[in-house]
Amino acid sequence: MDSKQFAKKLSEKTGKTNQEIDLMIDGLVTVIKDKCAKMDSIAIPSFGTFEPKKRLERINTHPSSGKKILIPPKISLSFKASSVLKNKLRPDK
Amino acid sequence: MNNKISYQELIETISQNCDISKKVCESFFKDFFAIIEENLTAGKSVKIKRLGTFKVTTSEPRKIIEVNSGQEMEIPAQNKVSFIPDKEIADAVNIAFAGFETVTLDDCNDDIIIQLNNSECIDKEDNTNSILPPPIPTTNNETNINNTETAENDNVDIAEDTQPEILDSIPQEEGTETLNNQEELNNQEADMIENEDEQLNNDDKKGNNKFAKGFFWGFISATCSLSILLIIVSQFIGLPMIINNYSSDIKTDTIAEAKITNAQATKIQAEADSFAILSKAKELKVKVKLDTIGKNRFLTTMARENYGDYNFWVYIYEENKDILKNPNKIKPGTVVIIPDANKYNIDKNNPESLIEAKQKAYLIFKKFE
Repeated sequence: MDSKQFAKKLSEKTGKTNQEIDLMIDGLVTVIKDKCAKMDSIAIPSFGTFEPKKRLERINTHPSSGKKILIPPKISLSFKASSVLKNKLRPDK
Repeated sequence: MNNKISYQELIETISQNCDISKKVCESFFKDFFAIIEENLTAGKSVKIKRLGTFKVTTSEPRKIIEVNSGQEMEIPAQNKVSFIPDKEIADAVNIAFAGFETVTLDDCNDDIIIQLNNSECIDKEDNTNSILPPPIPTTNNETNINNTETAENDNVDIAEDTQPEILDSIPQEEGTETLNNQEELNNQEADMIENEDEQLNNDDKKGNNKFAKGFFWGFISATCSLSILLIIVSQFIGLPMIINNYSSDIKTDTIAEAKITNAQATKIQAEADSFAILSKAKELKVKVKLDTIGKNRFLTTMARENYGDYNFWVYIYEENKDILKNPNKIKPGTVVIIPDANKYNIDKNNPESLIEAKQKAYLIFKKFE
């Protein structure tokens, strides 16, 4: 499901125009940007948590050239599904 | 830092930013996440513009041997949610390290590479240490000469410490000060020799003219050096009264030498005046801003006041590197120099300088991990 389909479904369900949906998603994105850059995590009940994770710098070999490369430290945004969502996704269910 | 933001807070901030009522916002995001969930349970991936992609990945069932009991167990197949953030949002989160790039290394051992990583900070430290002259050794030597004098000198020293203009960490002034101190040290060494001579005189009671002259000139030079020191110090503090009293004391003590000391005193005062002018000129050149760290006043508060962004605290830290150690453990009451914004190219409107400051902060914190 791509972004257009998602927006269409959302507008059907909430009765909002595409512009309004865009505005709301923008709001969510800016909040995630701001908070996660400060190493805060955002919890959404029964869905999951958006949390930034700090990865240290490390030395690795380049897969094609075989040379050693130094990979810089990084903060990456990760998503952790809540147990409610995990249960819903269980294949035997 | 490391706070968990609740759903309510999230909704509140979004409704404030977008100017939409809280209720509408809450119901919208309820539906928003419900649709994602629906699609994920159906096994579909969901791509949302500017946010990222949610995907379901299945892991195969696998067997493990439990460490405690030694029994074989099977972990059933699982569905996992993976989230790949959009490039824009990933870059925004990673802003602190945005300036770093992957570096290719040639023929280097791992140890050397790690050393290279840390060498940058160490080099800087070494430089600053070598530039700064060693801390004032004079006060200890002065105590050897005369107890009464040291009492006064100590007072003066304390006053000097409290006076922020004469902080020792100001490099240019310190240079001149140490020069003066060295001169005084030389004089004092001479004094010590002269004092020994005096003792010899007293022991032998020969009263040789040569010895008497030596003692005489030695005493004069001692008084001269001390009065120079006191005049310089008092010029800084603005209390010339002390020296006047002090010099008059000397006069009463040495009545016989009064004429000569008077003649010398005028010379000395002329010298001291020139010293004072020089030091004043230096003060004007080096306009140093000072601030004191308090319980609720940190480097970040100072940085925000002076440069407009708290991230620039690293430059205040850098300026006061020799006083400060762990930036998280600074004693309240520490006086720090606030450098000029141009010295480190501090510009709050320039994102590159912000990024640089954040990188520096990372390196500083890494040293104290």
